[in-house]
Amino acid sequence: MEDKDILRLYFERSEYAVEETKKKYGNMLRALAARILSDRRDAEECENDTYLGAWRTIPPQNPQNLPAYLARIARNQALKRYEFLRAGKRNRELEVSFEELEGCLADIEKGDAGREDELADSLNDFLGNLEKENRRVFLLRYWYCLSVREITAECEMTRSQVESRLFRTRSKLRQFLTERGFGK
Amino acid sequence: MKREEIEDLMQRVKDEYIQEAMPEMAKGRFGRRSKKWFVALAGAAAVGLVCLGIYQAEHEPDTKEIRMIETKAAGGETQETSADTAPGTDYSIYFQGEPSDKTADYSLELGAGGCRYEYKQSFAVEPLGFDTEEFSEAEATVYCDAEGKPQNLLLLLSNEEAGKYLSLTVSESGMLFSCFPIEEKGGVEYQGVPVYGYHHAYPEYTSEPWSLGLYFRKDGVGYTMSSTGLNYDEAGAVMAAIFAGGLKPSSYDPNRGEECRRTLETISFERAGEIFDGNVPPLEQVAGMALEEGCRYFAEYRDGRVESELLDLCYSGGDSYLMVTYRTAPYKYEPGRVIAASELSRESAAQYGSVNDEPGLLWYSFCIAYPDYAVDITARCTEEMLWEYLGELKR
Repeated sequence: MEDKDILRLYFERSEYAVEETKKKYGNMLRALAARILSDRRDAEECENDTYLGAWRTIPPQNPQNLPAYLARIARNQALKRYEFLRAGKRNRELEVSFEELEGCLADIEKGDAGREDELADSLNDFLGNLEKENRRVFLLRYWYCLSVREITAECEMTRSQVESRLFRTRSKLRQFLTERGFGK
Repeated sequence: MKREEIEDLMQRVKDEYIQEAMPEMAKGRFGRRSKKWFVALAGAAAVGLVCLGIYQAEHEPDTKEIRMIETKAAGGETQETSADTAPGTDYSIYFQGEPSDKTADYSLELGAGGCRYEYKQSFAVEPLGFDTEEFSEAEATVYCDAEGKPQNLLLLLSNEEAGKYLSLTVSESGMLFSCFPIEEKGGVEYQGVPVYGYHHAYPEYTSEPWSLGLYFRKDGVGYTMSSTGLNYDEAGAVMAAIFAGGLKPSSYDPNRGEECRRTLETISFERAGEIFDGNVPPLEQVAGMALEEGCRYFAEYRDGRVESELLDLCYSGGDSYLMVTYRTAPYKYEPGRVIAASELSRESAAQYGSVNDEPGLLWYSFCIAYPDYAVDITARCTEEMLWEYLGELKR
């Protein structure tokens, strides 16, 4: 079913909205959550929360990009759940990916509320200026939380290619944000 | 930056980049899940509607004009309405209610069991009595019962660039519609009518700061309004306009809309085969999995003509299941996960198998393309089980 038809079902409060969303995007959402949570049941709960989130927000939202909208909800839910569960079981891969970004952005300050928007715009500007493949590698690592090994399979690159691209992109990001006035 | 701040920042990456980066592997993990919350929600809300459509109209902002014509019940003369937004009103007070979790009796059966009329031309969605200049797109759908009598109206207005969305559902039967359970207590009176509202923040779901909603009944008609990106005054103006005019399903002229109808029925394998090129294996059982609900056939009609057809089959047994969906145009293939019918083989299907959480089972998700229709396969089973079904299909 096409996305516009799925959205139509949400707007009509049809029970099929969730079913069709699950059919089309369930795997993706579950996998995305599982990357962060490493536990099938947690990932499934997170997937359910995503459907609930979509159900509650569409309408009034009418997202133009449904998969991205759902992915955003799923990732947010997974991260929240991860924070809650973190004391008990750590996802080493996720920790490492966060540490990489934390290391990169340690000298970056988000500033006050007004600057937060600017920072987000700057990040998107930066991503927009990247080569497509580098952007994908960066987001696979830091948005979808894939391991380097998984990225090699996704992008058909060697491990060293992935690692060097990530390293260079992180460095460029730090430099870019510093030049935009977000450095400490 | 701290981790939480980085998480927040990453959450604001543009949609297009998120979708562009979406991993292929994400399409193939884990199996089917329970529908606990969904069943509970559906049960509580008693949503029993027939799937009906909304046309996603694209309108040029500079040509958009939204007007509503109120047709008087007596005499049938036509009269334009205008808003009385009572300048100076503090509309914020109507949005201070909190949804309660005590009752869950309100839902709207939009489908009403009959056809619908879609209004996708701007001239057909007539003045609403409030300022609509800020909305660049509009569409309306009127749902009729089996006798063709208008029952419910769904009106959608949006301005994607400005982040403004407004949906109005209007029910002749007085039903209120909410995904939140609401309790009709403590409403704020507006022109003598109790109004229940909410101002709800969704930071956990999206970057949108809040939504505003209103529920009320006037002259027995139920009005549910849901918005994002509107401030109190803007949303209040809509409420005032509703009070001032006759925004009702029966206000719309069916002759201006396109008649659409969707049907769902359980059909025989024989009939399914007639629809889909004799290519529906008449199997009640496959590899130890049983057909769950028969052949569920959906047909979408527009102005009396069949527009699209869909056949849904679901086999399950033990930890395995196989979902097969036949669909006619219009459909789109999921890029990269399509097998041309002429190339269907055990090997070509096997390439879409990926590791599952259940030992010994694989996850499959792909599409088989025939010239005039497509067959979507979603399964959690072994390669042998999958091929037991696929081997019956035409190549």
